Amino acid sequence: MGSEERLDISAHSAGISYQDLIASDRVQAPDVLKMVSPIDLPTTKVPVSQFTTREFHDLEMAKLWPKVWQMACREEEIPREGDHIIYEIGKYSIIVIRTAEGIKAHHNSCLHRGRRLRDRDGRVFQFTCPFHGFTWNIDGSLKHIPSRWDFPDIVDEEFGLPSAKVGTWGGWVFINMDENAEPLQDFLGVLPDHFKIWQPENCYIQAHVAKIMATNWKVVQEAFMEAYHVIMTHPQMLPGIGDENSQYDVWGNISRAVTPNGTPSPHLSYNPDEQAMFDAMSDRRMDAPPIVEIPEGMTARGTSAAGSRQTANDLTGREVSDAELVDSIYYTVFPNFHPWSPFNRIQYRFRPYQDDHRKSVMEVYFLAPFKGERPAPAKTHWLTEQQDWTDAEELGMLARVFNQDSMNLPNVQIGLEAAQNEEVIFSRYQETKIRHFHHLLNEYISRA
Amino acid sequence: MSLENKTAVIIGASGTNNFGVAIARKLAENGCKVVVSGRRSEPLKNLAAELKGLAVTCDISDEAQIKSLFETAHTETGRVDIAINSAGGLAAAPISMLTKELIQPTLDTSFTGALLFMRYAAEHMDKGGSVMTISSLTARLPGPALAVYAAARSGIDFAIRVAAVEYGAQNIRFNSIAAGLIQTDMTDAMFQDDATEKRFIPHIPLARMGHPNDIAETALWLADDEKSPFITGQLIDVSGGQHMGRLPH
Repeated sequence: MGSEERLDISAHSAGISYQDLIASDRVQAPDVLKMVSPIDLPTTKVPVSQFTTREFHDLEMAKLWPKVWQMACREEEIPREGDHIIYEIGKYSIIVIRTAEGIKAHHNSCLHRGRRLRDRDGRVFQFTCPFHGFTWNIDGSLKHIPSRWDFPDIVDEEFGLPSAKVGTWGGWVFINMDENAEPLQDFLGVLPDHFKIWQPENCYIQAHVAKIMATNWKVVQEAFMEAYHVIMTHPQMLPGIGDENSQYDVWGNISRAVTPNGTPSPHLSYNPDEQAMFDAMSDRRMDAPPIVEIPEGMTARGTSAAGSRQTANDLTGREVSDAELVDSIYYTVFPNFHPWSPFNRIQYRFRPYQDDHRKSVMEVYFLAPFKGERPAPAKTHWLTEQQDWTDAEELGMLARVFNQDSMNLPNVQIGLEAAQNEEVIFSRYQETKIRHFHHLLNEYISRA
Repeated sequence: MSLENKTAVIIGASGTNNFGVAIARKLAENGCKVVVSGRRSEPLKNLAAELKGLAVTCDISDEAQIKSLFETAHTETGRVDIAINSAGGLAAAPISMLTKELIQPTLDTSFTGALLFMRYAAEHMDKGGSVMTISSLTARLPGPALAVYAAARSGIDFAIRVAAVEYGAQNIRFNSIAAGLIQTDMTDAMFQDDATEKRFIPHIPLARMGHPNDIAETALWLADDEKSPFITGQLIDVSGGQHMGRLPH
């Protein structure tokens, strides 16, 4: 495909377009990566107050979180009947439990005097309130009230636990507190089609790290929704990453970015050789030997792909393309869930921390394909605000990259709160995903 | 100048450096009163101020807005002589990934919208005129992932010929400009060896990528009743010869 439409998009860097890059790959990219869907949405400026005020947080708690599909957990975390997790978002607390009739989600409050029914994840076969003993079946229907005679006005059939809708896709469990919400499949739109070849349902949680961040949830989330920041935040990557020639696309509630690796950044004023590109991709330390010497005539991109191809082919039973093995392919499902394609393993989720508009939880899952028996999912490894990401060794090299992001983040929150300008501004193309997010957020907040 | 005081309506001009903008500037330089249109009002207002023209926002997928665009142009300037459709952005999808939801937006903008643009333009050209649509090399040479995008443009290229037949008696000419590989003006000379350029230059007889000015000059010539009065129903390839394809080297 030619690039004669650059002008219409008016957005591209001087570097090679993603489509042109993958057209020359030895093992061709799958059709899903040949999709191009840039969008020109109206939202370019957003009030600073959306990131810094209690008022906006409360608006989100009233208009967004109770009305939108959101990722609660993975099926593998609640494999047996009675297994449950507690999904918390702001003030809301929801028990997501597997029953004989599938996964259900119940609001975690006793209907008698409000005590939380479950304090932690686990496995139960009924919900018995620790305060007075009101009991519900795990399907939400009322089972038992001690001193039943003392509650003549309660009608059993009408005293079931208020529930949330449950939907599943790709091994992920989503909930929606709005009983009039469209089905999950409609909300996800193209996503299941895009992920057909990647089969996240056949992956397992290899790692799950959660860290408390000193920022509004949107501030930290947005730091991971564009490659524009690589130039200053991860400069060591520049010889081997096409940050400025990433491709950004939108389809309905889904957005995607593809940042190519094994291609130099258009920001550089020189052309790195293939070895320099590969060394940047593999995060070679200055005093360490190269992990691989690129053979004559080979490219960093091709070599990197070849290195992981055998394992990938074994796991998937097909010839995996260069693009899938080398490039960063990161989707966002509005509002806060970010599945990457499986050879990156990364999946992010961002949430407000409890009911605090100035704190958030960032979660990194590593989702990996497996062969044979399903490995047990990793338990959540919590990091405090003070800890480095490198305290989670299971994240490998990525932890150092996160530390670089973390150097900015608290300063973004402080800067926003000190700001005298009233709006933040987003670029037209490279910050597409963020613009798309705020466009949808505004739609939810504006509803009656 | 023969274009002096004529009114040109250009939709697809709300970028900073796209075809619509280049064409609007060229026509204004040659004496036209330009009405610039597109979806984003801020860049339109800036362009209109620069060219001493009029800015009217319009989403071409909305029939009422197209109708209103031409009514406003006619009311504010007294006439409509030239209309250029440069709207519509690229979307790519292999046929294996197509769904109705994916196809519809491109149809709404680049097919249905383009047809309605022709109708409402012609409705206001009571003194005759020149209507142009910006088409693409991709509607001449098939490329993967472009079934919807290119077929919509190809469909409009044929509709242009039908329009030429229908409106010939009223002296309204309909033509299509098929843009080949056109480059933005590079401000950074560092990227002379753009890999994309290297890939395509061997296929272009004139051995260079095009410039927005190449498109603008073509539009200027087609707009002018003194320069192209007997040209209608024509598809002009501005592609440096790439549209022909060629035998391998």
